[in-house]
Amino acid sequence: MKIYLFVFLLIIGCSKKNENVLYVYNWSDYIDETVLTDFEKEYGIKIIYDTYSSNEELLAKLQAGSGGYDVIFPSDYMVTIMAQNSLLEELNIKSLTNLKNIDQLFLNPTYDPEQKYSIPYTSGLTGIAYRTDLVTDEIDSWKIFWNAKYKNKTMLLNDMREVYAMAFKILGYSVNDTDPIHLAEAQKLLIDQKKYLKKYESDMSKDFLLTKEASIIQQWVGDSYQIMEQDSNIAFVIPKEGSIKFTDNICIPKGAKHKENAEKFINYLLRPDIAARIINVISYSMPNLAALPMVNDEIKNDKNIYPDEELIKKYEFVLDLGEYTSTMEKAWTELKSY
Amino acid sequence: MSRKNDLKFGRGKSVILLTIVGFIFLYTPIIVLIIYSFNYSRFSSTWGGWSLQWYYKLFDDSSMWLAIKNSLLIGIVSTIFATILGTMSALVIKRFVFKTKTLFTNLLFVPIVIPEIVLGILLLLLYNLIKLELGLTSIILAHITFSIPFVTLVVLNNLKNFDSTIEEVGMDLGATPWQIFWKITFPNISTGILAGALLAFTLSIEDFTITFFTSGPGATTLPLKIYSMIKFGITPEINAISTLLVLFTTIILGVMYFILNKQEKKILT
Amino acid sequence: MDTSSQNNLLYRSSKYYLLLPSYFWVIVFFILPLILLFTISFASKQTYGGYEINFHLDNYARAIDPIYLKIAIRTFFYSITTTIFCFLLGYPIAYYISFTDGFKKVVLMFLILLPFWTNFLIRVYSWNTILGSYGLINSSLISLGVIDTPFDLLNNYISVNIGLLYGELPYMVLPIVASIDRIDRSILEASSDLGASKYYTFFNVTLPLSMPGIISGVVFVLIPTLGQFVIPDLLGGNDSFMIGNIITNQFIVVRDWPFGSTLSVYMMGFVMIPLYLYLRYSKLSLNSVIS
Repeated sequence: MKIYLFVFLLIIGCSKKNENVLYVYNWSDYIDETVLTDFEKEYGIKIIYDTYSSNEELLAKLQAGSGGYDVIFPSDYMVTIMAQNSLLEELNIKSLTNLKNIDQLFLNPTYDPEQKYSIPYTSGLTGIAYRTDLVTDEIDSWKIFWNAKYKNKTMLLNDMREVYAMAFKILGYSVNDTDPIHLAEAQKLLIDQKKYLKKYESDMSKDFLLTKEASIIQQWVGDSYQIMEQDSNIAFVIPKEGSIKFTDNICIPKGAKHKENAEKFINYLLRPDIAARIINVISYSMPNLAALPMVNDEIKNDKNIYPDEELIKKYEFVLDLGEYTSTMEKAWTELKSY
Repeated sequence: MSRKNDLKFGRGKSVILLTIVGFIFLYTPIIVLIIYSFNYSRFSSTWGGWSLQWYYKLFDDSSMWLAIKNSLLIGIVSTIFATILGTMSALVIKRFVFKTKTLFTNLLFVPIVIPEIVLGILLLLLYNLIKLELGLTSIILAHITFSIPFVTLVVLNNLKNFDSTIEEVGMDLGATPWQIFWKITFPNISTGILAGALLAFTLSIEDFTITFFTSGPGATTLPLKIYSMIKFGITPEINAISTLLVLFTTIILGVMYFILNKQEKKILT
Repeated sequence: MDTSSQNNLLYRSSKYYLLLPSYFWVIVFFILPLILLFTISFASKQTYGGYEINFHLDNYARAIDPIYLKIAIRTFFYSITTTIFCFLLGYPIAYYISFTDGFKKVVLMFLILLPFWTNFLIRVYSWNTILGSYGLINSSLISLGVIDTPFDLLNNYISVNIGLLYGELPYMVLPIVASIDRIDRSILEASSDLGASKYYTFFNVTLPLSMPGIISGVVFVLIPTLGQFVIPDLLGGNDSFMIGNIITNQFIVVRDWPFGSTLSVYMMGFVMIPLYLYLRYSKLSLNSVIS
């Protein structure tokens, strides 16, 4: 009988979650970890931190019933999808006193016109990171991934929209193209590329580049800069065909149990000093104007991180494709299985 | 087994050679892991000198401790439930004959033989249908599910050597079923129950696949934590934790061997 | 069963209820979800997740598309080679261990069991250090002057197969040790005394008598390998997708639960039908095969 009592107590013990906590679900390598510990100290709120590596993974996790996260970081088009599917809480804008630090240009974006669900966190674009000691060719185009010289040394992101965006751009289409014939063309191109591909991988690819297992990878700008800091033989380039630019956002998922804590956390992330610390670590730009003076010069002046419009005129935001998403997802499954 | 192997069975050159190859195969990665846990450099491709920094990092890593805590909690709770339920069903299966017995016993054991990924998905679908939030509770329920058949199996095997006529004697002398169980049955099959519990605990601590599909926020177990560490940046911290696991296991099993001595083999298998 | 226990009706009836919790559990957490899985496998996916139940066979038709068939064949091929190699390497080890005794046997058994308690993912992943372009094997071969450019050992079928073999080997060794242990040593001695050679004794006495262990070993290696997805994920490249990876992808990324369910139904079929036929044919109960 004692055992039953013990078990009962244990169950009670683990089902009680009324401590002062905050469940944060973010992209990997997307925050300065000391910022988290400082937040815990300052507010007395314990952060439980998990990471994901694609928007689709985040959506799948929420759809599967992993309610319980309080703060998530979906990209632009995913905010639209999530808002449409009532997966997001409306934000209490009044509590976000630091919103004034955000660049007006980034407010009320098309993916969340009334700024009801999201606050812009970072923005960036997708390009090519490569090893200058292993790659002899001049790289300025996505076509390098079809160069037989780098067979089994190339890696693409494990991210449907990114991979198709690259193929669409080479073919001269928009990243949001919804013509099945164009998709078939892109598919053919990508199947051809698989001959040279090591793996579709978003996170491990950075370590593969560092350990020379791979020499050319498709990667987001900030993540590339994070590994460039560790190895001077790594460089990043923006391909001339263009690709995806994105704004990632801070949102509160529907049914979050610690909404107030979440809003405190969001407001904290918008603080200029905190934002600057994060930028200096993750090398992604933030639309936080007040933070700019505290950002390291080499980041602030880097055209890849804070790009001018001319450089990225061929870059596009991803849009939600509606019903067509399923068609693309089917193609993606086939491409990965091929 | 205690007989002397005078005829030298299993001592042919090829058997010895293959055994050595097999153990080298099994242990090379483990030895490599242990050595590289002391590597100063973050990458195993370069040797940066001896260092304990990854162990210090490990002890500072609060998310790692949370994962260990979760794993232990899930392991203990699911083991207790699975052991009780499994022992109960083993007792009945052993003792009684009923029409649909084969069907029912087979049904009970099916979860052992379907691929783990399918079981994980089955539970995910169920939890989604009944809107059970994924977290510690959902993982514990999942672990109980896959542990019950294993415990039943182990206890059942142990019951084979148990002569149930003693129970009948007890019954004839007027003992209640409850008394019979605690005074006669339990002491006789306690080794089996312990072995079943140990197996259930091991399976729970080690499980990745089913936990992968049924875990939620804050319910990261050690295997899930290790998976995300591998995915999101290899650090020798992983090597450090596995070195500690090897050390820890060796100590526990060593102690167990000396305590249980001869019973040990039975428990482990 | 026993006449005396039949005399005591109270004792018997009081024990039946002991089965109820387990069956309740199995029904709620296994049978019910199984029905759910079948139902969803005939459903349609909704664009952003969730499913609409409108019975049709589209998913079943889609699953036999050549692209997926290729993956299915690869999965079978990997599973069978893994099982064969596990047997070829595992049997001698088991045979050796079984004929040792005392402390040495305990140590050897411990060495087989230790991997169970060190995390499976770490052990598998550590092959990266060994197989990489600058890993243990390649760098030793290069420094010895055997090769100039490193072999591609990682992120392809080689590393996946090594990983699978590595992960499953102990599951083959343990049941075989148990079954050889059960063989009465006097039979082997008798065979020897009657003038049979060691080889003859092995192939005509030991091997057939250890068959139950081999069969449970095969069951315990083959089935997990068929459902494997982590090893191809960690050690594989772009050509090492297994069925488990497609299924995982449906649930973790593209939210196509119906298609994922269909593939799971197929996978269960591939496992359960042969097993059922085997049980029918051999007249064994499931627990005797897996124990």
